Amino acid sequence: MALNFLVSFFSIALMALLVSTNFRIGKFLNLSLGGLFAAGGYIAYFTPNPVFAALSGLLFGTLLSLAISKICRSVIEATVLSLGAGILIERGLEIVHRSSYYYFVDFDYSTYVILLGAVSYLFVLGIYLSPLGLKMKFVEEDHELAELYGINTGMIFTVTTSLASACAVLAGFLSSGSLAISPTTGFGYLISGIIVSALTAQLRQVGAVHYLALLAISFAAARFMEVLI
Amino acid sequence: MLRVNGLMKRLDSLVLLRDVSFEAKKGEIICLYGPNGSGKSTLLKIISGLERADGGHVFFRDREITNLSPWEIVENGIAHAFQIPRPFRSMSFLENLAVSCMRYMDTDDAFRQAERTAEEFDVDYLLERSSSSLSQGELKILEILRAYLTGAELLLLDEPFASLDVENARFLKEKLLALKEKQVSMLVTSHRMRIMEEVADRFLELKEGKLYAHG
Amino acid sequence: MKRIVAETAVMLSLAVIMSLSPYYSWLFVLMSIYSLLTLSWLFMRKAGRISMGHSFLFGFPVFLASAGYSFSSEVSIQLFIAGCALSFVIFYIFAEMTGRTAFVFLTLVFSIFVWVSSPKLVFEKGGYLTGGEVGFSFPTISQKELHILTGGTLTLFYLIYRIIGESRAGYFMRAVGDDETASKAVGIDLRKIKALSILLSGMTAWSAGIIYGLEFGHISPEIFSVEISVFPFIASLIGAGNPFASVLSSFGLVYLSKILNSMYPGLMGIVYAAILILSPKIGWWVYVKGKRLDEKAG
Repeated sequence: MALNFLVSFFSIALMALLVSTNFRIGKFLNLSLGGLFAAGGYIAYFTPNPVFAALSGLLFGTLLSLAISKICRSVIEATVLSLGAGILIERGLEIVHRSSYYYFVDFDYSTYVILLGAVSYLFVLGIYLSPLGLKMKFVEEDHELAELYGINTGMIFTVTTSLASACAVLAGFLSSGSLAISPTTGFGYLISGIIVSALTAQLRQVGAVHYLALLAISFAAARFMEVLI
Repeated sequence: MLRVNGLMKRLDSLVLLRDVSFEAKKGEIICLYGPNGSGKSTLLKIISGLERADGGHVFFRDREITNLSPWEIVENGIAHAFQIPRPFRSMSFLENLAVSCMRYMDTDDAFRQAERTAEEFDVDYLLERSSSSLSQGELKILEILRAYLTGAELLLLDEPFASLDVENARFLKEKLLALKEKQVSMLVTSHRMRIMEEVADRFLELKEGKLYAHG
Repeated sequence: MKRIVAETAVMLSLAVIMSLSPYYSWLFVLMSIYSLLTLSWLFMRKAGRISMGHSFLFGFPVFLASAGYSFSSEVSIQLFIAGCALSFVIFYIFAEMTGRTAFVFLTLVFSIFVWVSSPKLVFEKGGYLTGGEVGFSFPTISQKELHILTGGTLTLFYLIYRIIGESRAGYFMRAVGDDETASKAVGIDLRKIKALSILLSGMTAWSAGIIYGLEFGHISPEIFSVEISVFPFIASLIGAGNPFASVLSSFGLVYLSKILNSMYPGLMGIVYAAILILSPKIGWWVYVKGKRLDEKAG
């Protein structure tokens, strides 16, 4: 029971972290994360290799960030593009692996989501508490000004989007054992992450404090959000 | 006509306006001057309802209009023209003007009224132009005429001469004087004192949110 | 005026031609439903709000009505009216409490939330469980009646859209769509105009929802799907914001989806995805006034 709660809590907290970092640093609402999560489930079914899952996410995230940098000028444009990318993944999965039934895997790594969530938070907190944290806060606060002061915002954007995408695929891969895998599996997780992230944003904190608040709100909301996932 | 009593505005711990009081008469042009950040634009925005006052009162024709909605303030006869013109980008010059009149007349009459006004102010050659193709000077004229066409008796003009060259500034000055002849009152913020001396009847200085010199 | 008459004549001709075969009549109804959805979206866009959650406005009242139909027709009608009122209030609150960019996010996230959570609505009726992912049944009418009803509704709302565009309310909506602050400064009551545009949008979407229910005789949570939400955005993008072209593009997209999905189910989803991905390049008009990427996130 307690373990199930921890899995739900860390699943929601992880998705909230991914949504939040993309929004605060990448300045867009990454709606492809739901599709990536579902893709992780399919990878678990067809090629049960977590490294492959992480690498596919990394590659997709890099391509997404490049596409956004090349053709988008506004937050809405980038968000809509990411939604298109999310739908592309889902429909792609539906076409390639069409089945009238859900897929089920015969292993359960879902408890590892706790580890993935904890490591992701420690990684982000570590960055914000290190000298790099100041640069990250600068990018969060004022993208244009940070660029004028010589911070490579493009690189930070690409790395953030790629890592977030890799984490989303990996989370889907690890959760697959406790899920009925379908192209829309990730939407519940994505919505939970967005809701938690939006609630935390109301506190108007920046840097490490924001991410700690994200963790706390995920904990408080996990019971209610379980319905969605 | 306009009476401002003890107006206050704060932003967190910063006091933007402190106890600002003055009056304006019908047909009068008042120049409001002062350094950047002294609260000139904030004062205009509070009078036009675009920002809320934290204290004090604004009366227009003896009716209290403090903190009314902007559209209610326009109905009372006050209109605001912005420092950086804000045309309706999907509309032509004519449509921009006509929209202002539509509040109190039907669409056909609004278009006729807009055309008449453009002719009167010698800008009828702009009528069919798209607002996104207008120069800075033309946009300023559009902004002011659009405010006038709301039926305003008092215009609040925020830096109308900013970023205009000498010729455009002179053209605009003539238009303001033409409006004055129609007994339209104006509260104008400006840094262009030489031009304002040719236009304004009275000067008020705002410094650090306080109105403490009458020129 | 001549143009409006000509455009309406084209639509009515299509309605007549497509009534000649049962399959094309069925297709016409489907195309018209999606065209109405697009018109509904355009009403809101006119006042400057890009809704990416239009499936909620379209589907919510009819979804409630279909749940109510499990009990009686009276309950169904009452729930439909309640659904219309609630969806209007929710969209109005969204429009009041958010700016243009946040409105896009909020409507999209909200519609996905409803999509994900609506299968949880399950209840027992006559010893059977109804609802869930399967949804609820809905009454139907004859294809001929449905064809006439749909053709009439589409023509009516198209004319309303065009006539309002030339009216005072239409100009005020355009002004608000261009610049809310400047609209306030010329004395436009923003709240009234926002409410009017959402009401007109809602009336169009609710009608489309009812026809959708009558066409399929069944409503499932899929009525809230992301693809329905993004459909009017895509159709308007292809129609470059022109109402007539957007109606035609809605017709074209529905027809294309029938062809592609019969070749391989889900293929149309790929087309939608590609259009969304390329939309910043091909649909600049739709995005004007959004928050820039290098601006501070709120």
